[in-house]
Amino acid sequence: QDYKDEYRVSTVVPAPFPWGIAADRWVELVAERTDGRINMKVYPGVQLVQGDQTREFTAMRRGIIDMAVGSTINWSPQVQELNLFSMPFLMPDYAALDALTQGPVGERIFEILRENGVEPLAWAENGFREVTNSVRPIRRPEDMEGLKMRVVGSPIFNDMFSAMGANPTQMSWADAQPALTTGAVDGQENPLTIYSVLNMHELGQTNVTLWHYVADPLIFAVNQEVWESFTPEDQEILRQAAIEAGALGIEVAREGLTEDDQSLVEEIRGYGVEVVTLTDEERQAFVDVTRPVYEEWTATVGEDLVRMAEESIANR
Amino acid sequence: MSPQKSGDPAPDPDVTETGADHARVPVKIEEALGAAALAAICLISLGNVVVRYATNASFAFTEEFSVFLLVFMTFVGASAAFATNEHIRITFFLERFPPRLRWLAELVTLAVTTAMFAMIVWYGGRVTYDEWYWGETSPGLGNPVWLYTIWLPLLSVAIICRVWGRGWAKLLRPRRDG
Amino acid sequence: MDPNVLLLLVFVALMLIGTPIAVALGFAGAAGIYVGLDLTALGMIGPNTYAAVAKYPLIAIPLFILTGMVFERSGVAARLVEFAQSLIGPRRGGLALVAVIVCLIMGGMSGSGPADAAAVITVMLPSMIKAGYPRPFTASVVAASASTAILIPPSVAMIIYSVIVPGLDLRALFAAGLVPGLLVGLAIAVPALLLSRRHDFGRDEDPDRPAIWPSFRRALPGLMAPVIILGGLRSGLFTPTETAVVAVFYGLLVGTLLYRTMGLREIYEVLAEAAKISGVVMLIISLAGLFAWAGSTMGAFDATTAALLSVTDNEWLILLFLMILLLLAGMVLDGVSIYLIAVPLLIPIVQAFDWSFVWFGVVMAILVAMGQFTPPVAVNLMVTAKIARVPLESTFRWVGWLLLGMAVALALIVLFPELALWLPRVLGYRIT
Ligand code: NA
Ligand code: NA
Repeated sequence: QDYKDEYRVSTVVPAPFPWGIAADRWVELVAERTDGRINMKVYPGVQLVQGDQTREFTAMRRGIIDMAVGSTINWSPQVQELNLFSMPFLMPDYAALDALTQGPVGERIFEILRENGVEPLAWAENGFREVTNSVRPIRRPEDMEGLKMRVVGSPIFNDMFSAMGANPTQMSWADAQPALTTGAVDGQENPLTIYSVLNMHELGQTNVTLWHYVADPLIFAVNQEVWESFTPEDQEILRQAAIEAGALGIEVAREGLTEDDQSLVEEIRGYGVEVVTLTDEERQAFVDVTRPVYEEWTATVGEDLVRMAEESIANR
Repeated sequence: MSPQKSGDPAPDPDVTETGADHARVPVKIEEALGAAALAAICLISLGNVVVRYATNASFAFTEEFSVFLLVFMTFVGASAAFATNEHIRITFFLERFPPRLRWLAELVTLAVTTAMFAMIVWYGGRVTYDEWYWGETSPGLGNPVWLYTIWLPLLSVAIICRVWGRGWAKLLRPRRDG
Repeated sequence: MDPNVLLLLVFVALMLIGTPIAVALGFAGAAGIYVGLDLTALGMIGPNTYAAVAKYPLIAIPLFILTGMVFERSGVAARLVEFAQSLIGPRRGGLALVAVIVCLIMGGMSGSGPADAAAVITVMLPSMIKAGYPRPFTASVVAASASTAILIPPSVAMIIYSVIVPGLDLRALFAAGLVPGLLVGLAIAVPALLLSRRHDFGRDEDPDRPAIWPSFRRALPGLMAPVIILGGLRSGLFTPTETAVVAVFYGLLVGTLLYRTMGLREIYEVLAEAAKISGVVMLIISLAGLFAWAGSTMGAFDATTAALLSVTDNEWLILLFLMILLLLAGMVLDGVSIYLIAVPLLIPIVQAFDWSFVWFGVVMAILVAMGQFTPPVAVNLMVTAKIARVPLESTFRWVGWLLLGMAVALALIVLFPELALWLPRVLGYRIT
C-alpha cells in the first residue's frame, strides 16, 4: 500500500476554537482506527498557503494540501455555489442550518465539490456570524449608516453592507486587529466563539447584535487523488471519523449559544458588552433592506439551489 | 575587470560590480513600471485615508488592488535588481576565491537562479491556468483571479531574461571571446 | 541524505558562493521538498511565492522605505547636522556625537539602516576629516548608529516580525523599540566619545557654532517627521500602513515646497529606487517562504526546537544560546532573511518559556542591528567604508568597541524587559 508518511490537513484557526477542535478530533480518530496507517497533521493558520485562506481550496485541488477542514466562505471564490450560506438572512436558526447541511442541499453541494476536484466528507461549523462594533448598538438598518466594517471572503459581503449603508472594507485579520483597536475601523462580523476566544471586547467591540445574518458551515474534504489512493475500508474510516469529528465540532460551536443555554452570551454580557437580540420585526427590516442583494446573488449561486434551500428551510 | 593571466582561460568577473551598462533592453522599463506601481500604491492608500475621514463613501476595493500592485512591484523591482546586480548576497568569500573558482561559482549561481525562476514560471503558470480553467474569482471584487496571478510567471520570465542577459555579458561572452 | 540536512546544506553552500540570499533560500526549499516530499508538494511554489508577498500589512514596507528615501533626498540630514552642531558646540568628540544623534533621528524616518548610513556619512565626512577624525573611525561610528534604524520605529524588520508572529500588535512592537533604540544610541555615543577624547579626535573642530534658533527652524520640518510617524501611530488616527503613506506625502511636501530640493524628476527617481530596493527585500520574503514551508512540513523546525529544549531547560542558557546564534547569523545574513528563517523556529521556544513576543522582537532587532556592522558581511559598514573610501578591514579596530557598547545595552534590556515594555504599556497597547 502506497500511503504517504504524513497527510497535510489545513485549517484556519486551531483549538480552542471549535474549528480546530473538530480538525484535531478527525486526525485522532483516523490515527486510532487505522492503527497509524494514515498519519495526518493539522497545519492551522492556513500556513501551507502563506495564510491566504482564499487559496486553500485551489491548493487542495492541486494536492499541495492533502486535506482540509475549510470554511464555505473561504472556498467561495472557487465554488460560487458556496455563497449560498452567505445569502443574507437565509437561515433564521440552527434548525434551518441543519436542514441545509444535512438535507438535499448538503448532498447537492457535495456533488458540486466533487465536480470541482475534491472529495467532501462531512460538515462542521464555525457558526452564525454576528455583527459587532465600537460605536452604538445596532437594532435597525439605519444604525449601520456610516459604520466602517471589516469584512473578508466574498464580494457578497461588500454588497450586503453597502445595502445597509455601512462602509465595508476588505481587510485581513492581521490588519483588522490594530484597525479595530485604533478605531480606524468601527466594526467586524464573526461567530461569537471567535469573538470570545479573541477577547474582542478588549479591542473596543462593546456592541454585539445577534442577527444571524449568515452562517459559516465548515466542510471536511480530501484531495481527489489522495482519496482514490486509499482502500475502500480506509475511505470509510476517514469519512466516518469526519462525521463524528464534525458532530463534536458543531456541538462545541453551539455551546452557550442555544435557546436553552445562553451561557456564552451571558459571559460576554459580563464584560460590560451590550448584546442586542433582534425581535422578528427588527430582523424583518434587515431582511427587506438586503433583499436586492439576495435577489442579485440568487443568479450567481444558482436559482435551483436557492429554491431548494428555501424549501428545505420552510419544511424544517 | 582585471587582466587575464596567460594559461588561465577563465576571466575574472568583478563580483561586486553593479549597473546595467551591458543591457540591450533598458532597465528603465522595470524602473518605470516599479515607480508607477509604487506611486499607485501611495495614491490608493492616501485616497483611502482621505475618503475614510472626509466622507462616508466606501473605498472597499483598495486592498485587492494595493496587494496586487505590491506583488507586481516586487517582481519588476527584483527584475531591475537582477539586471544591476543589486540583490543581497555574500560576496566576502567569493572575492577571495581564485578567478577560475569565482567564475565557476558565478556559473552555479546563474544556473540555480535560472532553475528557481523557471520553477516559478512553470508552477505559477499552472496556478494561473487552473484559475482560468475553473473560473476562480477574487474574494474582494469578484474579478477573474488569473488576471492577477498571470503576472507572477510573466515577470519571472523577465527575470530569467535579465539573469541571462547579465550572465552572457559578464560571464559567458568574455570567456568565449577571451 | 536526510532532506532536512539537505535543505540547510544547499542553502549554506549557495549563500557562501555568493548566490543572492533570496534565490539560495528558495532553491534550498525546493530541493528539500523534492527530496523529502514529492513532486505534487513542489506545486506549492506557484501559490506561495505569490501569497507570501500579497499581504496587506506588507504594503507598509515599500512605503516606509520610500519615506526614508524621500527624506534623505530632500536633504534633511544636512539640516539635522547643523542643528545638532548648534546644540553640542565645538568640543573634542563633538562631531562624533552629532553623527550619532543625527543617525538616531534619521532612524525615526526610515525603516532600514544602509540608506541612513549613506546619507549621514556623506554629510558628515568632510567636516569630520577636517576636524581630525580618521576615516575608518567615522565610517564605524556612522555604521553603528545607523543600525538603530531597525530598532527605532518605523522598522521594516519589525513589520516582518509582526506578520509572522500571530496576533502581535505592530504598534506595541514599534513603541517597544523606541527606548531601547535610544539606549543603544547612548551605548554607541559613550565609546565614540571616549575614543575621540583618548585619541584626541576633533581637536580641530570648527570653532564657529551655528546659531541655535535659525538652525532649529531649518531642521524643524525634518524633526517633525518622527513626530508625525509616532504620533500617527499613537493617536489611533491611522493604521501602520496609513501612517507610512502620510509620512511619504509629508516628506514630499517638505522636499518640494519647504526645502525645494525635489522636483518631479527627483520624485520619479526616489519612486524607482524605492521600488527596486523593496523588490530586493520582498523577493527575500517571497522565496524565504518556500524555505520555511519546507522546514515546517518536513519537521525540521519542530525537530530543531525539540533538540534545543532537550539540551537544557534553563531559560537563561537557552536565551544566551539563541542570542549567540542570532549574532552569528547576523554576521553573515541580512536582517530580513534572519527574521524569516529564525522566527518560525523561535515561536515555540518563546511560547515554552512564556517570554513576551514584543520583548523578544526587540532583543532580536538589537542582535540583527549588531550584525549589520559586524564583519564579514556588514551592510551598513560596507556602505560607509565605501563612501569614506577605506578598506573594510581598517574599521575593525573601532567596530569592536562599539559592539561592546551595544552588548551592554542589550544586556540591560535582557535583564530589565521593562526598558522595552514600559512605553507600549503606558500607551495602552496589548503586549503579547
Ligand atoms: Na526606523
Ligand atoms: Na554582519
